[in-house]
Amino acid sequence: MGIALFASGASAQSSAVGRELFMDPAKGNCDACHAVGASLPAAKRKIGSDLSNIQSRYPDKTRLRADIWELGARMAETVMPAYGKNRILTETEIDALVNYVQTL
Amino acid sequence: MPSSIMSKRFNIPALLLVIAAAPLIGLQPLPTRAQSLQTPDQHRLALIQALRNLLPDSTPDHWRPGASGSTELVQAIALNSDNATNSADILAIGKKLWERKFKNGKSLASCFPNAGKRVAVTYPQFDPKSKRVVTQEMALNRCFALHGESEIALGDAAVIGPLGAYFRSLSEGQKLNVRVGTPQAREKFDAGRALFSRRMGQQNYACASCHVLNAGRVFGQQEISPAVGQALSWPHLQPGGKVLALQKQFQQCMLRTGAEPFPLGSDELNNLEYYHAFISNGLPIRILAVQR
Repeated sequence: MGIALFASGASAQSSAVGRELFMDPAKGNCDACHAVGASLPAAKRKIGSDLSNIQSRYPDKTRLRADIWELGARMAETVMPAYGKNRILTETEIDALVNYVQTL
Repeated sequence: MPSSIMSKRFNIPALLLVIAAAPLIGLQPLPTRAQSLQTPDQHRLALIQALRNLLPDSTPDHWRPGASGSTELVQAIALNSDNATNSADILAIGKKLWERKFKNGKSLASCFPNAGKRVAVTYPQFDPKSKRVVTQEMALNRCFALHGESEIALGDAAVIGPLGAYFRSLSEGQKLNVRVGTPQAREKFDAGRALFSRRMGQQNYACASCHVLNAGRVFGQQEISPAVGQALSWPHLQPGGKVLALQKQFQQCMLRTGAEPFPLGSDELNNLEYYHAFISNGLPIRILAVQR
């Protein structure tokens, strides 16, 4: 029980860090390209896909992590930066970002 | 600049990403044999068509503002600026610089046809003698050098900015008319075109990633301007009165990708400016547009 609570707390903390990374222009800057649950008119559509209900698109967490690490590996035409491959984020930061994005 | 960033200037594997997307938009990232059969004008028209397909509710006339605001905004800055530096002030400074007599009694007007009127819209030009692309700032400096005057540093925005803006204003109302008339000029155009579509930096973006593939979409809070039309508005007036040259903007974009920018006046940026201007040929320029 104690261990489970500790694990849950650590995950929440990681998710909070991930939220910061998500919005930090010098780090993830994810919200520059991705909307979350906003119904934008066509003229205001962002570059990337809407990230709401991300768990339905990525039931497998490792797949989400792999795409953040380098989406270009499976989607050649993407303009999304390879956050892991190009060392924009550390492995720990990518984990935190995955934890946060999974809550969207 | 850290070496890790410098080494990302040309990320060749990632270049494949743009190549893969190219058929969708009619833009080929690197000169190929097929492309060598396509004239620069054919490429320009294909690019316009691709952008119109992406932005079906607009025409190239809508793209004229590029990454700048409206002329009303210029007036707003003129009225509200604390330092009283506005477009009229800047053009007045540029006019003084333009009319300044050299030690030999000549002035800049002596170096250009028609005393510089309706000339700036033809820059950048390919110079067959030096086998280089010459931007309008380089042409001004060549004139200074010809008459034994000191050249202006390309990064000296307080001088080259107003002077370049005034030179440009002598072509007010004219349409951009950049020529790519010889095979040698074509090589420079192709080099600029390749750089425009070459992914670079840690973020791995090409100019075309945003301004062709994602034109009209929103990055942050800002709509991404289409590549066609951008060149019409340079140099820009930034809030606060500083004049921003196009090549400085190229450098800022490269920094955003995490790449080491090419130097001002380098062949790379000159060729890029040559291509970038050519694709807006036939559209009227704007004087000292305000940066958003």
